[in-house]
Amino acid sequence: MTLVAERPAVAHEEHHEEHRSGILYWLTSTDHKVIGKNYLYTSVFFFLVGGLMAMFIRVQLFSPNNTFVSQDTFNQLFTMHGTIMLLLFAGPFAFAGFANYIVPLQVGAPDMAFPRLNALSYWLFLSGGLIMLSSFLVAGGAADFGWTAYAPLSNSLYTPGAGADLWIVSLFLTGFSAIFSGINLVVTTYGLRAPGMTMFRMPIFTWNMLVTAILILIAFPVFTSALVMLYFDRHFHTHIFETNGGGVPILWQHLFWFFGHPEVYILALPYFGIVSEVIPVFARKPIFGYKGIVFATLSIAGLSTGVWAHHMFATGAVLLPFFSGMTMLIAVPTGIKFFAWIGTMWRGSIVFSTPMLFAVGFLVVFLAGGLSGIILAAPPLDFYTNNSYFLVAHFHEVLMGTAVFGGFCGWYFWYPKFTGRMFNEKLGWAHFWVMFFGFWFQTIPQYLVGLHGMPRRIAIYQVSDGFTTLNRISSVGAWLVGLSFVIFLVNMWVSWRRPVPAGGNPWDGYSLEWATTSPPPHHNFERIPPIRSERPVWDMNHADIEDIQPHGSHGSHK
Amino acid sequence: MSTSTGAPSRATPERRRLGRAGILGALALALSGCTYNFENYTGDTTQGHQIFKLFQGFDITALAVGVFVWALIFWCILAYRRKSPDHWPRQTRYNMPWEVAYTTIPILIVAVLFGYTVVTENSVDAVAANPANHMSIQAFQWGWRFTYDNPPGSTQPVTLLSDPNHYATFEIPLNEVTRVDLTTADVIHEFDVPRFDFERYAQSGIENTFDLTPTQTGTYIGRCGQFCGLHHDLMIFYVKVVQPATFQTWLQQQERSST
Repeated sequence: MTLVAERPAVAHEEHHEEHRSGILYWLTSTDHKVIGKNYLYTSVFFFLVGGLMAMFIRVQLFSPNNTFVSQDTFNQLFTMHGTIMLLLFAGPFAFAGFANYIVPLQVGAPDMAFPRLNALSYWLFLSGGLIMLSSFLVAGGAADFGWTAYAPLSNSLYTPGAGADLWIVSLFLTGFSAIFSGINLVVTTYGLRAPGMTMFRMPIFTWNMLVTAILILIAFPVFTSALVMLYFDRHFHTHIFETNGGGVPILWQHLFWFFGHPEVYILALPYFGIVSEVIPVFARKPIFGYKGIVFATLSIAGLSTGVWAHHMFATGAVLLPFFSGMTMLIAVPTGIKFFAWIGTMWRGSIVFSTPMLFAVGFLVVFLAGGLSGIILAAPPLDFYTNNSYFLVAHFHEVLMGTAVFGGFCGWYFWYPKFTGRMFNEKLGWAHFWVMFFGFWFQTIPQYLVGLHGMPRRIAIYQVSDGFTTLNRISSVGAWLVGLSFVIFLVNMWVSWRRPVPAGGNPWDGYSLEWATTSPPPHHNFERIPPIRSERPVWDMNHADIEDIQPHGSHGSHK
Repeated sequence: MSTSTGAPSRATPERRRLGRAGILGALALALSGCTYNFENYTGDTTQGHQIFKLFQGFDITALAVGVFVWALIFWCILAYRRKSPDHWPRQTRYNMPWEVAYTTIPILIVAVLFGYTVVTENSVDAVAANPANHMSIQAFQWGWRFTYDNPPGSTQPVTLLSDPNHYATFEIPLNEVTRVDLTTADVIHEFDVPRFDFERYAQSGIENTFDLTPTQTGTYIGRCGQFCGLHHDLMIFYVKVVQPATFQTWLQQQERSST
């Protein structure tokens, strides 16, 4: 049906847009590219804020009995660090930033399906984020119950301050923002594909964003409702998460993690999509096992809705074999993706430009995080390591592997498309290597100190605990990671001051966003090349190379 | 436009030799892994030691898989760099036999790991019919209440209190089963003795029961694992594992001093 559907009429709106300029254009635009950029810049800003908090946390943990920050401030810092990084950076950076900018381009659409809803979604996100930051200003400071906000610690008896309320309200707003983005992405990919763009010709990034959007629609309404229930417990004397009055505290954990685990894949799948775009381009090959990757993505999404209680093994109140079996099974589709990425590089012709460096960095780092994830999926091993620094190291490898290595992979890959400018390759190279080395110094000691018994979320440890050396190495590693972002900012500043034009397709990219100018015009395309495979731009540019036409093996003949 | 198709043939003698060295290396790693503790505590209870053994198996598997996949990634990085700007590799899109292999082999690995996991978790969570020592442990903000429910020759339970001003040491008998009923007075806490390789939540609405059968004498630090508010890091206590006779004497002393 979509193949013959008429394009929405947009001409008159274009006319309006042309007359606006500067701040007014930015404030009122419904163009998916402007909104996408707003999301990207805003979430990177939150990333720097959350990162600064991590730097302070690592200063506090550098020495035993340290008094750099008070106990109370420390609790606020790690709560806000977790919340900001997960819900204001890693998620929106991908499913709202990259997705907004790239998905309409990749399917050959002029805009998202609901441009005004899209704008509303951004403003909800920005307001939510600012409310979150403003909570540092109220009496008693920001929320300090950890980003998981376990009941009953998060109720008005144990956490009375306004900071906790602002935390709830902020996430309520960003929750709606995410839901609206999810709706928009699903409708855009189903309804606005260009003629010839069948589902199995969509780039893997768009596939992953579609699956992410579906997961958003499964997970975020549950979380947003749970937040309302928590608010009611705090202010309207309900007892949903309190034992006195007939409630059940563990219900919060079920609701939170029923959101929280799909959320992990909401944070991971977009970045899997990004590296699935980058690796083929820089290896000069098509993605290996396209359909395998698509089905792996779908099965990851399916499994991710049935694993939430692996965060609750130590509660003694969940069915261990079911949740551990489902969790371990996720290793299989994830493995399929790994082998597909390796298969794409296999006998390729690889250049290590900055995006490719970050893509390979993602592979190396995420593999480590995935393997320690298998360890945590076994309940007995979880009894030993849950709530220890082993867990902290695990999820920092997973989330930094995806959102940071994968995220900057996408940033450097599409930066020329967003701005029409190139960045400095040498600075990009430095950014990668400083971060990569710092990262291992940061996480490996955390695994060890966790196995030696250091629980997470403690502000003070003693000399006699024997945690000092490992914490010091970890702090230095984290500061190196922090330094790498200074290099990143310098790179962006240099590119801003001394523009180097990028041209429409600097990387010899495959998908439709490379068929238009950089940055694309208001409605994206003057004309669209014929779409006969998942690499329309490659087909257009390299049709003359006879010997390198698509190839595959079913194993029946050699 | 000039074209060339990929790397040379696969089975050169050097590559075969490399492969053989890799297999030998993996074997050596697996064998030494059986004695190496991978920086884990070996678990000074019968339950904790089973957890440690399972951990060793997972560590060996994870390292083997990790080294294999990392090696593939590094091989690609080293071997397939673009040598000339005119190099256009073969455009392989899929290869069914390989795709089937890399789907089924992980399923088998996961199935084996899952089997060992289920056996271990059932054994760790099993509780004995007649524990020698029965305790109730209650966590609160920010401390612990350790109660011996039936001290021998007394009708009164014996209770020790641990708080930030005084970290209590409670004793349990060596090689005998200590049953613990774990609860909380307020928010969620977590009973955590790192050297027993064991943690369990204390929550209102759910009473958790588990057995500890210590196999080594000594004094062990215990903590609260689950973040529980301002003084979470001060919820420290000590467990002292002693000979059963010593334990009885100590318990009687506690009884006298508490009455």
